[in-house]
Amino acid sequence: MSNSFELCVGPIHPALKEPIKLDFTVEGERVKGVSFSLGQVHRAIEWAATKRNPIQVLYMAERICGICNMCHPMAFSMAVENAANIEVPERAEYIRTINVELERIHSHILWAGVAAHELGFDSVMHYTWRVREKVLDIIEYLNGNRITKGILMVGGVRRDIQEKDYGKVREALDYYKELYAKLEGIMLNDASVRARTKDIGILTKKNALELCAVGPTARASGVKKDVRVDWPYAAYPDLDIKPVLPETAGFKATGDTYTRIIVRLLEIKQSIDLIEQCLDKMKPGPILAEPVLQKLLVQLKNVQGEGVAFQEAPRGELIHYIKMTGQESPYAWKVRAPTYANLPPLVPMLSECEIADIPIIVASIDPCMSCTNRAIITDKGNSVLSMDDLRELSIRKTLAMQKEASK
Amino acid sequence: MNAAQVIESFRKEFPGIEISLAEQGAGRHKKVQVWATVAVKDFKNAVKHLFTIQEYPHFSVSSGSDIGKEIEIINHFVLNYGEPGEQVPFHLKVKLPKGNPVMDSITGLFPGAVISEQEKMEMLGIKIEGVPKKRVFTDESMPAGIYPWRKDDKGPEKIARNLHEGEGK
Repeated sequence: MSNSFELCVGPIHPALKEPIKLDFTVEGERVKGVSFSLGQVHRAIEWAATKRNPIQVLYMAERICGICNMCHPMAFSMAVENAANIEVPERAEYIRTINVELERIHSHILWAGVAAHELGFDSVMHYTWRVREKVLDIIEYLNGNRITKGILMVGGVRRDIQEKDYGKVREALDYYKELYAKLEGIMLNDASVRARTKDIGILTKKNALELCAVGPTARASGVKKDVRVDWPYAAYPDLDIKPVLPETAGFKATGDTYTRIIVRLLEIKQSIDLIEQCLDKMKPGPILAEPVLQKLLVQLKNVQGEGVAFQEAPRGELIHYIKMTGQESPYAWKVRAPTYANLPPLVPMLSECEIADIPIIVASIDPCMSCTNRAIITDKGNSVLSMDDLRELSIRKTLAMQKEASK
Repeated sequence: MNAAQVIESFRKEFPGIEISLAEQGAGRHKKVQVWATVAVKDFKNAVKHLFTIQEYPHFSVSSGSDIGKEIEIINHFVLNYGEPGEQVPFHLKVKLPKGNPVMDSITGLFPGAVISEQEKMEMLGIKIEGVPKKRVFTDESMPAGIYPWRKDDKGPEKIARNLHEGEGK
């Protein structure tokens, strides 16, 4: 008689409040195989775009993801600008860069909180989410909104950053510089976090390459790939930037959950530096290639061609493809968010892990699908584990390890 | 190998290939992309040829659209990543006749391409040899034989609730 049985996690995910269905084959506590099903929140947004003009699509793009609400409209704009051969004014490129780097800071801090929650450290989750408020405040101060800001426009941005506001931005950056050591101490030096993440959920460099991993997930496995460096867009050609690899901080690129934490933490520091560089280097100038919306719409209506844009979103390479055929609406639009690429790498990461490690491993790729909050795990004997039960397993493992370590 | 050399290499290996360079910006802000179209029979070999340019090229995703009598599939690759400023996006197109929309899979070369290939089968009604047909993104209530990205009678227009038509009214 086989000792293996099936576990179905989802379609509402236990780890990240994001819908995905994972089917595990387990033997005792050990995961032997995994497959996944997507699409629980597919909104046919690419199809809907073919019924709207590019400016309307811009606002739809902003709503693809609540966290990357600057990256998506920016990648969409870049794809349209590529198809229409529109040159974005230099100052607008800097403002775009500042905003996407602020977005990276808030995304990575948010993620640190989620990861801590999955390990059972809710005090750390509350701490990280509290300090994340500062970056959201500065985003609101600059753009008028914390989440969907509506400042992107094809050919530039709709709102300038006044020189008198630079001080406020620097003040927020200083705030993060001061607390960075504390954040690093919690996430990298805490014995329990180390024990729960080191050598857990390993993605080898070979697997990362074959499975087309992107972003911090790929870099933690030693794949030197960062769109900002390799194909510099926006203001990045003017900035001093190198891809963040675990080696940057003297660690080995083992591709485990711990190295993925290292990469994201270092990227917070990198984003602070990049924003400071932008503030130092940006010069006064126009912020829109075509300030009159009606003229822009007419210009876009006449575009016949295709455009592709690559961008380094917080979770990795983001790509938008657009096809325009001289009509009011795009003929085709394809969005590939980083999580789409980082799901196949989950399979080797989860292979041979313990059930209690599933939440933190899945969280370690920082998956982003949508936001809901429910989970059911069931085996063939119809026993049911709720999300809380699964998290309880994870917490119990942390406590057991702490107890073991204190002996 | 820079973009011009990539083009040269493909022209040598696949005579008759449609391949061109698209440039945007100037100076340090200049960005290049390569667009190519190959015959369906040459598609897999063209993808294999990318491995002669970089040890492990990156596959980003494939996109596609219904262009009338054919289905156009565009595979978006990235070459020279890891080299500052040297990345060459490479977009490889194939056009599949609607009467027989079949193409080779590249999952043997890029195992990570499986979701992308299944999505194209699901959204455009094409067949990719060796890839199991599976619903990835659409709900089970989507009728069989309807493909969301098709513009012909196999498209979703008949079943779609065109909410946008009520906008502004």
